Amino acid sequence: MSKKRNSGDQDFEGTITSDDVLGKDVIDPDGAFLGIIEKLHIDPRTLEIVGITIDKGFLKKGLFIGRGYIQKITKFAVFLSIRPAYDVKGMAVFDTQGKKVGTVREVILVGQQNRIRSLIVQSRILRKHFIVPRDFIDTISRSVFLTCDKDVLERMQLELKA
Amino acid sequence: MDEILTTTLPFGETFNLKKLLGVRVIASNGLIVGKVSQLRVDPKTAKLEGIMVRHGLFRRIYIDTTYFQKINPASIILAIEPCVLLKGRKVITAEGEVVGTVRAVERKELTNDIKEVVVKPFLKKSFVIPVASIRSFGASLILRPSYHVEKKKLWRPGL
Repeated sequence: MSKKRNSGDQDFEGTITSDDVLGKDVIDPDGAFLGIIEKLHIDPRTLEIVGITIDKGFLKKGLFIGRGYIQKITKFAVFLSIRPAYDVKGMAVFDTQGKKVGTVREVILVGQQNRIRSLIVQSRILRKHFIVPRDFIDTISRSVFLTCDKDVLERMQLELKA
Repeated sequence: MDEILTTTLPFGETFNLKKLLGVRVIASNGLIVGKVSQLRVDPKTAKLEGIMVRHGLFRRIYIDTTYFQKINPASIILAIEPCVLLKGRKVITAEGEVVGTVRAVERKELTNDIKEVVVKPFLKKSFVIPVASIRSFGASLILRPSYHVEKKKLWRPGL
């Protein structure tokens, strides 16, 4: 194969192409496979890559991840430096007493950053909705653990409604 | 109600152990392990020694109280993620290459301390990875960059 001509002033040795990235697995720091890269987004003015769109699977909404959250691109996958906050959706929520409050129905972020502002939690019984502000969330791993009891949450909802 | 006790907790500060049957058992990472199906007591000391957890339809896991972080009437939170639940998880290199899935976990006796992990690649023989070569245990097991998986070709003998 003939050597490619370089008509610009950049050395393209060591660079990768869109073929090397599209279709690759996207993995978060926990080792979870989020999907595959469907699109690369490029700023048309600066020609810089600004982010990727992840195809999460059949009938699932795509997820755009900004370049700042990409840790590294390897031969086999793209690693993110964050766990997308939207992954919290569907997780079980427990209070300090270990009682299940419900499941996460919606995640409200701070602007477009990967920071949670609040969660909307739906309880299975009576289909009640709770808004849980960030300050009431203790830890998020495979489930969400709150810093308060379910009773405190219910009282808070009444205060919010009033 | 009459109470007869010496130095143990008063009645009001205890709770009925029977209420623990059927409660959820949650691992330290929030994974729901299962529900309590049995409470096991030391017959000599009358102390709660451990619980039997029903995981799924047929699997049962016995966990002793050393691994408990918190006991609530609504759930028991463990201080660990039971390593026996690692089976079936993907094992990936630091480069993101999937090398196989966890087939078995070799522990130090019956503790939750892992010695090594048996990994089964697709259509190939299983191999063993020592725990020191595993960087993290999460949704997948991620290996350290220093660990190199030996590449075996299908046509080579001893595969």
